[in-house]
Amino acid sequence: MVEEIRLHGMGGQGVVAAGELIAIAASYEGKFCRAVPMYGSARRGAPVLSFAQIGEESEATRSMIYHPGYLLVMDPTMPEAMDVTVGLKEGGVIVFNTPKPAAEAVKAFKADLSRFGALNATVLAEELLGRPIPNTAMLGAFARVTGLLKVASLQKAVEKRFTDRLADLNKEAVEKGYEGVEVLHLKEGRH
Amino acid sequence: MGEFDVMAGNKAVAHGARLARVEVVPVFPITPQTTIVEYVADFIADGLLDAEYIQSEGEHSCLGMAVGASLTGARTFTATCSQGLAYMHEVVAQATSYRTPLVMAVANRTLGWYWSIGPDYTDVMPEINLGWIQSFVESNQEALDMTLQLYKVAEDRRVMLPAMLNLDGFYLSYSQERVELPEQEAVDEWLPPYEAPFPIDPTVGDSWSTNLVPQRLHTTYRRLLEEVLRDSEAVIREVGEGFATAFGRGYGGLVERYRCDDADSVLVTMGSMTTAARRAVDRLRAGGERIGLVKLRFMRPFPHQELAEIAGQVDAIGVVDRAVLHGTGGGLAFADVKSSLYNLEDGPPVVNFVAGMGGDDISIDDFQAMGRSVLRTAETGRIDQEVRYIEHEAPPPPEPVKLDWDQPVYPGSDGCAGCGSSIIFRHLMKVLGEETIVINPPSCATINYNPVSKAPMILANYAAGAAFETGVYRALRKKGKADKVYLTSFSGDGGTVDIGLQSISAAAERGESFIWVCYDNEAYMNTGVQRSSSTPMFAHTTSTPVGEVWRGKPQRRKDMVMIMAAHRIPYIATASLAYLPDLERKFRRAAEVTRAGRGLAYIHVQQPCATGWYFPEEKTVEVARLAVQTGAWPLVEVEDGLVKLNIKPRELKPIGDYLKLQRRFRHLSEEQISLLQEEVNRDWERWLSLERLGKLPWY
Amino acid sequence: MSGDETVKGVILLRRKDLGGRDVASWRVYKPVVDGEKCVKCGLCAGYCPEAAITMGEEGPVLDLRFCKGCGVCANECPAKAIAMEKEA
Repeated sequence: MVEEIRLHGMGGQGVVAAGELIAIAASYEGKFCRAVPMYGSARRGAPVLSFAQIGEESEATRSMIYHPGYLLVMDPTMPEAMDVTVGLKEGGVIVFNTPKPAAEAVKAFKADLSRFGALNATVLAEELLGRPIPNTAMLGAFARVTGLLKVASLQKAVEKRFTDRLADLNKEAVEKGYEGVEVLHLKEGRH
Repeated sequence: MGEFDVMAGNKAVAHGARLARVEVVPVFPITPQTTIVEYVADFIADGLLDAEYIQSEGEHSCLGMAVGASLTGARTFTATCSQGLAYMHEVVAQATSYRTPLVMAVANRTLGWYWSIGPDYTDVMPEINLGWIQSFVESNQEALDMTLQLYKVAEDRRVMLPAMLNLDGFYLSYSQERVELPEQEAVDEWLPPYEAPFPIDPTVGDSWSTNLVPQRLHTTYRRLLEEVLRDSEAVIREVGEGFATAFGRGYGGLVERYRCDDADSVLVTMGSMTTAARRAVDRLRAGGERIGLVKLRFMRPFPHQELAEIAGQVDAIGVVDRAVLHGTGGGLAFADVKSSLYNLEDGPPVVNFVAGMGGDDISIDDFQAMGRSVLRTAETGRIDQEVRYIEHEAPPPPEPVKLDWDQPVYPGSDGCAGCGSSIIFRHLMKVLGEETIVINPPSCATINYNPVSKAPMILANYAAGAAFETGVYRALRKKGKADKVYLTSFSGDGGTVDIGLQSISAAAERGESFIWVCYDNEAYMNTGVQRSSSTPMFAHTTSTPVGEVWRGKPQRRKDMVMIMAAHRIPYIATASLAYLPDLERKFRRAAEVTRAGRGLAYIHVQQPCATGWYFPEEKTVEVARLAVQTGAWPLVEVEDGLVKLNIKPRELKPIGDYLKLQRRFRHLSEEQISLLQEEVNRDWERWLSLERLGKLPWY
Repeated sequence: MSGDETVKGVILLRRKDLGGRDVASWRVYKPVVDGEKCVKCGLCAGYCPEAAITMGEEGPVLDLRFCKGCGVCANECPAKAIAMEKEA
């Protein structure tokens, strides 16, 4: 089984780093991983795309991911500007950075979902890190909503990429994201 | 067992070079290889690798440096791809004849007569038959491991040949995977230092390689080289097995067979696309089909033996290619396989799929379709279509905005927000008008303005910008149009002061009457901020990073005004986007001088770059102004040898005012700032004294 | 880009198919001109990297389709007549 994740966000929100942290966390859990940033124009304010794959090497591909089972949407305004759900598998899972409550936020996505997570990651990041970089909080939320990775693994991944105070704060962001995400179970099912 | 990390393929290769303790690393950036040599620079800057690092002026020189270093007995590493590899071509042949065991990583990218930064094998295709060992990897781990293995193979006395490591751009080069890093001690034990058998250092040896061979013997030496390549097969297998024993990872020999045991047909692939092909084979197998996969790990030496064995066991072979041998009707590996099997008795039919060109993705579904096609061929024994192109639809490009617009450059562009080059280009074209031809060596401008320029903007090969321009000029002149159409370049500093300098010098000397405009952002920005010889002293760039051992670029920048003045051309000027009337006046003067057929007009405009100098984008013009006001960028004109300093502030502002706005200088010590101030002052005095001189004496 | 029926496989850029590049979606901030303070010097139009500002009779004319919100205009305006405001 290979889980395929697509991450959406704007430049400066840590989308590429998030994909990398997922891959590192997966490695700590002994899983095959791949993180693929999509390099377009790395301009401020431009949408950024990144992919991550977690699972068994015997099921992996290195071709592009067309049908992710999971979306991580880091920017609250993105669904208005574009349809981020293109290609999402039936019964897919979305984890969304939004100030709105989950029941309302989920309406922004026209997709057949099995689970949905909503977290005000920007505010959480501002409070904790002093900067609106939502990625580590979103990863904690991702762990909770999807069950694909353990918080401890994500925190180890954070330690591998950040040092000292930043590492501590980002580890806390992961934990707070995990605790704070609002989860909607929309239907049973594998995807 | 060493530590692991998750890293891009390029970083894995760089770690390989570091662990191999390479001694000389000449470099030149080109996407998607660039970060290999940036990581190596970081290792050296931080004291993790002790090696000579050479920021070459272009790839032909880069490989020349590598061969020179390897001849002298140093373990040498370099990297390139695409246009860069093509530019190295004649030296690629030289490396073989000199028997230099260097390793070159190629982060494959299409050789762009159709431009793309995506991968295929058209870049290695023209190089593949020149006698190098040619290896292809499927994963980032394999990339690191093969970097080490290739040194051991190449340096073996039975081989002594250069080796290319091919890793797919983007799919491997920039994608992150888990990679185990072997321990340095374990590598040291397994890969001892390079002991060159015939180093050219006369204090070490008394024999040296030559490639001067009497004509009558050339055929013999070609045979001998082929025998060496055949001998290298055994070395490749030995090294692979030894590596597996020492480090716990084996990849098979020249080929890997995947689920071939009772296969009726096989697909043949190489590189990272192999992984998707494995999944397609799995799906077909799950459906009861008997199909396998052959991964070519080495294309040179070509695995004839393995292919012959496989051919004896199957009823059809489908070769997947990412390179077309134009004029033959099919792909590269296809030709190799077909010709390898031709003389076998009862060989199976071989078909070809051309896919993934220019980086177009090849999906598992695509491979499944290819698999089904080969299975059908196996079943019927008949070839319906020998070569099949796996094509895809593309979404339409963004619609341009139609509007009434009298300027030669439409509004909007793909440049960074606040891009200074955009300001310069608009004013240049405002002066020249749309009856102009713009020659553009690869640079940010290529991406930014092609879609919005009413004047034809032609991409010229990097080292040949002024050469393309000369060709255009002479054709215009022959057709009586030289005074009717303006001709200018729009080139970055890379294409002017480094790789482009030879052809500009030649054009200036011949007296070609066209305009050369250099927009100088003081580094190779389009590939991600590597130094050029226009980078100011002490600046941080990714190839002159600031670390424990290195503190930014050590050299002063090249003085292009004096270089062009040495050519005695009629008009030379520096300009600034903060001084628009002066800028436009100089463009106009250049237009007049060249239209009158008097020779080359050269204008060098500073372009502060928020992305690469690290300042807020709204300060682009402010930084440009400070450059002039502090004397960091004097505005000068040399017309027929008469030097004029155009803007003379009563007192130059302190250089610190200019430097402190840019984070590329944030590491500067007080001493470094004083040195820069002294240099600026000296330079200023120099311009004043040249102005007083009257005409430059050699004009 | 387009082809041509007379030469198979040729790739052409035709002048009549060119136009402006809509980059409005890049923007986080947009410039707002205070007409009272503006002295109609034209520097904003001269410096705009995207030619999103042109000079009209009444002063600067902004075509926000082409504005990336870089802020050069606001930074350079000698009358401090341009402010960068966050997009809604």
